[in-house]
Amino acid sequence: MRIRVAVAAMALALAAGVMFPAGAWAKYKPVDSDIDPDVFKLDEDKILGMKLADEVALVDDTGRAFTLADTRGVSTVLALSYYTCDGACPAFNAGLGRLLLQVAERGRVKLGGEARVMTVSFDKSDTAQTAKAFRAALNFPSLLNDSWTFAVFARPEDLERLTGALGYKFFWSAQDQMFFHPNVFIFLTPEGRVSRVMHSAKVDATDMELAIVDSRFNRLKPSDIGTMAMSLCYSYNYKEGKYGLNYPMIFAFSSLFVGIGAFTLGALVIRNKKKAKEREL
Amino acid sequence: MNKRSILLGTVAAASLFAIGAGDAGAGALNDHTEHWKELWGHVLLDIGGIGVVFGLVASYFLVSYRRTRDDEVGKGPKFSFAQSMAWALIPAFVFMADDFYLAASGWKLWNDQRIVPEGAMEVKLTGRMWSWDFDYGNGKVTTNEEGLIVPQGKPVVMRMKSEDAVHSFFIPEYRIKEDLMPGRVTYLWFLPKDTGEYVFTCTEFCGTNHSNMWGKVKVIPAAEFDAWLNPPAPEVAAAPAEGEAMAEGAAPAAEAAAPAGH
Amino acid sequence: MKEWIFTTDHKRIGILYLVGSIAAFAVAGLMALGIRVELMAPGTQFIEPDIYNVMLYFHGAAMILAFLIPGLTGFLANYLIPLMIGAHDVAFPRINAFSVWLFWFAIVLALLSLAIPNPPDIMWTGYVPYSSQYSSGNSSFYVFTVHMLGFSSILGAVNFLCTVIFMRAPGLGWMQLNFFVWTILGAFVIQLIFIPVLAAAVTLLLFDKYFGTAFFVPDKGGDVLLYQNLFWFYSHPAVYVILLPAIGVFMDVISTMARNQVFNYKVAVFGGVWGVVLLGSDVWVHHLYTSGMADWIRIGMMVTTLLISIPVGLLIISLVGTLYRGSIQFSTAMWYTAASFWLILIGGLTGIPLAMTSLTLHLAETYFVMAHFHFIMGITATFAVFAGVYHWFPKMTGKMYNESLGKLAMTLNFIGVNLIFWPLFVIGVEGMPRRYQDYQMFPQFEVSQWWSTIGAVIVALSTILMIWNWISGAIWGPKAPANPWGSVSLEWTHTQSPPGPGNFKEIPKISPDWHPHEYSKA
Repeated sequence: MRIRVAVAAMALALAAGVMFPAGAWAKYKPVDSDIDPDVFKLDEDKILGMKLADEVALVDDTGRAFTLADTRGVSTVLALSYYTCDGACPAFNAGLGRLLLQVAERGRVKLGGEARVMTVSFDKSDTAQTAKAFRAALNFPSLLNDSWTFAVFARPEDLERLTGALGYKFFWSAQDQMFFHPNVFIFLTPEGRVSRVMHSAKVDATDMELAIVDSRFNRLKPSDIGTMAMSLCYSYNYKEGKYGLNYPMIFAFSSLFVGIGAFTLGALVIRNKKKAKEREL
Repeated sequence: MNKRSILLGTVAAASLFAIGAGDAGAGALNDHTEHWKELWGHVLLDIGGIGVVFGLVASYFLVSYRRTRDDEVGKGPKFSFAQSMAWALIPAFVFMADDFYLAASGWKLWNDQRIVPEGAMEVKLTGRMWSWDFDYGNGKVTTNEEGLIVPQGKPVVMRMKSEDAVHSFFIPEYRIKEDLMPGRVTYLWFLPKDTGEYVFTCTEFCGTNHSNMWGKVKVIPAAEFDAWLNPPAPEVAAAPAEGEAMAEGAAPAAEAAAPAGH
Repeated sequence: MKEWIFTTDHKRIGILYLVGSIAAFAVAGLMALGIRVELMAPGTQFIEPDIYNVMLYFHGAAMILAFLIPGLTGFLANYLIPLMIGAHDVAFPRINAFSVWLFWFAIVLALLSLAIPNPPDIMWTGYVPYSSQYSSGNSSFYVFTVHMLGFSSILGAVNFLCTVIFMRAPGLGWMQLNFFVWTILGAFVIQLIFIPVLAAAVTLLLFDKYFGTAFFVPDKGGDVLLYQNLFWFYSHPAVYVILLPAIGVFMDVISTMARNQVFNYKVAVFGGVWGVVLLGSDVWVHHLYTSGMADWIRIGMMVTTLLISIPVGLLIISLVGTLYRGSIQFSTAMWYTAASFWLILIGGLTGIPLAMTSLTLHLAETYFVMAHFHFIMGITATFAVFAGVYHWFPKMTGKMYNESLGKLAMTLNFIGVNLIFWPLFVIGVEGMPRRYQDYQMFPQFEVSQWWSTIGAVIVALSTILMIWNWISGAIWGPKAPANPWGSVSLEWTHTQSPPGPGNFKEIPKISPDWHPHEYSKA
C-alpha cells in the first residue's frame, strides 16, 4: 500500500519534473516520500561517529579522480542519489540546494570555505558524463555550483563498502524502472566522521544550519560566538529527526535573573526603610 | 683532559642526537601515554618547587615571629601605592608565566591525545549498566568478560556510545579516559605498545555495579590478532584491507547486488 | 525553647545554623567512616553496593550543602557580620529566621531520606539520566533538599548583601571592613547569581523522573551533557562559596593572633576575593574534561582554570604575608590556621595538574581528584569552621574552652586527615577510581586503603574530643575575659560576651583612621 502511494508520489514528481523547464530548479518542491521509513531507515546508533573509509575512490563530473580523504577539512553534506533519475532525485538535490542557499543567506555558515556538498551516485551505470548532465540540469547559482561536487564511484566495490557500512539500502525496481532509496542527508565532520543523519523531508533551513554547525562545532573560532550561542539554543531530537528549542537551556538562562531580581527588590525595600527612618529623626 | 672533553662532547652530541631521534620517533608513533608520564614529571617538579618555597616561608614566619611579650604588636610593612601594586603585579606575572607554560605543554599533550593517527584500528564501544561491548567491525563482538583484544603496536581508536546512564571508559595503563553518554558519540585512542593484560574500568558513577564494570585490555601480537579477527574461512576471498577505518562493516545487503542501472 | 524557635536575633540564628550544620557533619562523617571501613579490603566487607552508594551520596551532599556552606555562610556570617559592621541586626531579621528554618527543614528531609525504602543513591551531582531514568532511589528527596537549601541561601544572600551595603555603622568605609566580611560578600554574590541555575537543573531532573517530561532525554530532544554543564555552572563557583569565607576566617584569625594588619589588604580584596568571584565563574568545564565536549572549550577552560592561580595566589600571599613581622600567639584557632597553610598548599597545588585537560584525562574521577578536593575544599573549610568556633567561642558563650584539649584534638585531626588522603593521592595517580564499593581489579591498593581507614578512625576520635571540648567549655568552662585575644575588631571592642539583644548599647561611630586589622597604633 505504502509503496504504491510512494510510486504515485514519485510519478507525480516525475511529471512535475518534465513539466518544469530545466533550470527552474528553485521551483522544485521537495517530495515527501511515503515509503515506509523503517525499511530504509539508517541505523543512527550504528553509524554516528563512524569514519568513512579514506581510500574510497570517486570521479567527479569533470572526470577528476579523487578519494574521500581529499574531501576532509571542511564539513560535508553527503547526499546519495542517482543521475539518470527523472524526478525525485533532481527534486531532492534542488531542495537541498534551496535549503543551503537559505542557510548561506543567514551568514553564519560559509558555503565552500566551511561546508561543502557532495552528491554521489549509487548507480553503477552512472558516469562523469551523467553527473555533468545532472549538474547542468540543476543549473545552480554559482555559490552552490562552486561548493558542490557531483561524483560517481570509481570502483563498484567501494560503492558496496560505503553503502554497506552506512546501512544505506536501495534497490532497483524493474517494474517501476527506478531505484527505491532513502532520501537522507548525511553530515560529515571535517575529519570525515558521520555527525548527523537527517531525513530530507523533515529538514528545514534551521535544521540544515544547525546540523552543519554541529558537524564543525569543534572548529568554531572565538569570532563565531553568535553561531555558538544559536546552536546552544537548540538541541537535536533523535526521534523526530529535527532540532527543537533547548528548553532546559532557556529555562536555566532565565533563572540567572531570579537572584539578581530578589536582591534588587531587597535593596529597594531597605533603602526606603532607611530613608523613612531618617525623615522621622 | 683533552681526551675526556672530546669524550664528553661525543656523549653530549650522541645524546642530543638521541633526543632528536627520539622526538622524531615519538612524532611518528605519537605515544601519548609516554608524553603524559613526561609532562606529569615536569608538573610535579613545578608544583613541588612552588610548594617548597611557600611552605618554607610560612614555616619560617610561624616560628620566628612568635609572640615574646604580652604587649607586643605586629610591625608588618605599610605599603605605598606603588609597592602594593608591585606586590600584586609581580606575583601575578610570575603565576601567569607559569600558567601559560603549563597551558602550552598541556595543550601539546592534548593534541597528541585527541588527534587520532591515520590508519588507527577502530573499535565501536557500547557501554551499558553494567557491561561493555566491543565491536570490531566485521561482525566480531567481545564483552568485558572476554576483554578488549587489540594488536600490539597499532593505534586503536574507540568510538563510544552509551545505551543508558553516563559511563566512562578508563584504561589506567594508557593514562586515558573519556565519557560515554546517550545521544552523543565520543572517542579516545591509545597505543598498545607492549603485549600483556591491562585493566579497563568504568569511572562515571552508574549505579549498583559501577565498581564491577571492568575487564582487561588484552594486547596480543599483530599476527595473532589478525588470525583472531579474520579466521581463515574457506569461501571468503577478499578480506578487507588492513588499516580499514570502517568499511569492514557488515557485508553489503543483498539488495545492493540487485539489478542496477537503466 | 520558645525564644530559640521564634528568635529573629542573628546571633541565635547563627547558633542554630551551627548546631544544624554540625549535626549534618556528624552524620555525614559517620557515613565516611563506614565507607572507609568498607574499603579496608577488596570485595564486600560489611556494606552492600546499594547501601554504600546511598552513604556516598549522603556524605557528599550533606558535607557540602548542609555542613560547609551553612557552616560558613550561615553560622559564621550570621553571627559575625552584624557585629563586625556595627549593626543592631541584619537587614531583614524575620526573613533571616525563615532561612534558618528552611535549612533545618532541609536537614530533617535529608535525614528522612535515609529512613524511606529507596533512598537516593545519585551522588551529590545527581547526573542524568541515571538520576532521572535508571536509579530506583527517590531522587525527589535530593531535589527538594537542594531547593530548600538553595532558597535559604538566596534569601541569606539578599539579606547579607543588603546588610553590608546599607547597615554599616556611621563612618565605616568599604576599606574598613574585616577581611571576613569581604569574603562573605564575594561568596553571597556567587550564591545569588548561580544558585537559581542549579535549582533549575534539578527541577527539570525532577520533572523528567516523575512527570514524564524529556528535558534530558536525547531521543526526545534533550541533552544529557547540558545537565552536567548546568550543575557545574553553579557547583564550581560553590567551591569558592566555601573557600572564600574559609580564607576570610583564617585571615581574621591571623591578623588578630599575630596582631598584624592584613598584608596588602586592598589587593587581597580586589585582586584576590573579587578576582576569584570573576574568574571562578568561567572555569566550570574543568569538571567535564572527559565528557567529550568540543576541544576548544576544554582548552579554553584549561587556561581560565590555570589563571585562577593568580587571585588565589594573591590571597595566599596575603595570608602568609600577614604573619611577616607579626607577634603570633598560638591559640587553638591559630593552630588550625597554621595547619591550613599546609592544607591549602597541598590542595591548591594538586589542583594545577587537574586544571590541565590532558593530565586530567587520566586523573579525572580517580582518588587523586578526591584527595585534592578533600584537602582544598573539605578539610581546609572544615578547619575554618573549627577555627571560627574556637576563635569566637569566648564571644558566643562568654566562657573559655580547654586550650590543651583543643590543641590535642587539632593535632590528632591533622595527623588523621593526612593519613587518610596521602595514600589516596598515590593510588589515585596509579588509577584507583572514585565511588567504588569494591576494588577487586586493583588488589595492590589494599595496603594504602587500609592505612587510609586508620586515618579515618583517628579523625573520628579527634572530632569527639573537639565536640566534647565545645560542650563542656560552654557549660562548665571558666569565664572568658572580655577580649581574650586583644583584638581591635568591633565585635570584641564594643560588645559584651555574649552580646545582648541589639548587640551594641550604642552604635559605634567609626573614625576614618580606624581599621579592624590595624594594631600598630594600639
